[in-house]
Amino acid sequence: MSGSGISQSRVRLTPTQTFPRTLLSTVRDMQARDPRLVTMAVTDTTELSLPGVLNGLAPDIAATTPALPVAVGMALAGRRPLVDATSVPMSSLLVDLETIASLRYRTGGMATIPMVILVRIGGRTTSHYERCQWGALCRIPGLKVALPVTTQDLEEMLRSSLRERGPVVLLLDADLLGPPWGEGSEPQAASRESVAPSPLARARVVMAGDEVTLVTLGAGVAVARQAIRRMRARAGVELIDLRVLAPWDRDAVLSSVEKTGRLVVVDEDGHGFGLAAEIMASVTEVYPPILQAPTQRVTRADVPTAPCAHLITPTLPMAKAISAAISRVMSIAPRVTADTA
Amino acid sequence: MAAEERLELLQQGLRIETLVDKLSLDDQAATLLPQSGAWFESAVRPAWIAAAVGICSALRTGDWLGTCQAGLAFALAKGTPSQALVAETLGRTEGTCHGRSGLVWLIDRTRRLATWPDARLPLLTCLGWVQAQESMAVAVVPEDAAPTLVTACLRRAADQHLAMTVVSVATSPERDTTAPPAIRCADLESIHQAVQQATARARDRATGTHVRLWLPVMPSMAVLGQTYVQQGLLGSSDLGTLARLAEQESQAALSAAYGYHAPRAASAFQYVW
Repeated sequence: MSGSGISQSRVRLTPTQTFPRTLLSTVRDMQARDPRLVTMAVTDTTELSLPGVLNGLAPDIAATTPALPVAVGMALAGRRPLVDATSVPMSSLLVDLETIASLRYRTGGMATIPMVILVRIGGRTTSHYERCQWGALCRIPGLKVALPVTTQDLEEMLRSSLRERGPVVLLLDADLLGPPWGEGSEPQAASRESVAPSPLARARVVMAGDEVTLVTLGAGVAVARQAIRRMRARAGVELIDLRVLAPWDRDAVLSSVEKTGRLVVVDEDGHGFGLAAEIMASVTEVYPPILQAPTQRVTRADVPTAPCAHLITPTLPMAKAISAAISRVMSIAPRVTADTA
Repeated sequence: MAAEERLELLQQGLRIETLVDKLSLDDQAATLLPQSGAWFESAVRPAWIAAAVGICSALRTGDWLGTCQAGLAFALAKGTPSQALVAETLGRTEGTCHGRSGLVWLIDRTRRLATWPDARLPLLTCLGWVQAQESMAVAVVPEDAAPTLVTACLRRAADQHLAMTVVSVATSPERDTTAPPAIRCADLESIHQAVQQATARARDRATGTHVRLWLPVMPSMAVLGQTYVQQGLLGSSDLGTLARLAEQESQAALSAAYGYHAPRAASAFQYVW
């Protein structure tokens, strides 16, 4: 718990820097530096499929699904595939991801599969909402999963991922990708002022506080900030952007909860069996107990995905529900222990 | 085919056959295999041993091979030491993949070999290999496993001028309109020649080629050796020498694996991340 490598930096909105632009410029730069990098687009054969996010780059290879095993072959032959799977649903990739992530283990370390897979999730403002089932990804041993929320995060994570020896899934929120994925594209992309590179496994304190820890990620960061702004006692909330889901930065969360004694998790995955449940369980497992009040989670409701935004929105974690959860945990008086009595 | 080459093929086949027989029948193996908890299927049919020897002998150094059947036979035919493979079979740390492959996830980058549990994977990874570099790749799959994917991979190889050969092991000589006629193979030589021609075509024209092998009555290597003796292609003393060599080698491989009781793996949690 001690010595957490949590990084702190101020966040500001920079509408000129969009996610696709950052993605393309970073990939171009990496291609120039590393000849082993090969870009690959997974396309769907249906007419309804969306273009991939690397479309502007004219990927080296276009492959219809199932395409991930082709990338495995390339990785075994010494290349570093960057697979754009943003045009296919995340669920269609799970079986192959399970296989790929297990190869190093199954071969006793003989085969490493350095590969980055771009996967589209979310999209609150879009008509193509993709359920954020990252819990399913995080349960695959050997698979690293990261979710950039700022353009600088995106760049750093992309560069770090391409240096990893195993497969990494970079989840891209459709709201941040711009048309045709997100209708309200520009304003949500933010850039950090700090330029220090951060490793792939570090969480980030977006707002410092000492009364309640609010852990979230992805689109949840913006919604949580909105919720905190609505509250009078906002100075007490420590907002943590998890950034990397697997392996998640346990030390950062535990050291924050040790300080605040209260925990709220905002997670766009389903209510049950998800990341929120995992974080809450990990915090309650600590002995001696560090919690002063029961934990709260604000998640997507466990309902099927509806075909239109006005039906999807009420099922997602919204600012009002987050504020209410924070107020609930803050209204509980601290537990009196032998030390504090 | 020259007599020496034929002899070489038979020697390879006998080597694999003897080892497979030993693993299945040996009393010690019968005790050790369940104890080791290894996922091992020792029932490698003579046809697959013949296919492994015939196909691997037709490849050049540097060619990739992906298969989803008879991993043990293909690995031995590709030159993996038998001691390491027996150790792998028994789930020991000195095995080719630290005893974790179960012989169906055996990936050996040095020998350019990968065995998989699913027919999709050899086809698609072979496509990836040829796309990544200029070497040739051969995918070996049972014919009925992924017929549409075979067609798709061959079309992609042809479109992108990639040298790739798919070897389908057919269950019947019947075929659909797109597949080539099955080549009836009754010995190692015919498999070797069929695959050599297909790979040569793929290399020369930089395209995907497909060869269907039909192995209806493939005899065991011992019977095949007798046939060669009857046909005068091999002396009876040669056959005896080959059988003795194969026996000695498999005995040495088994002794090495039995004699060294190392823990199965350093840690069940290694090599995850």
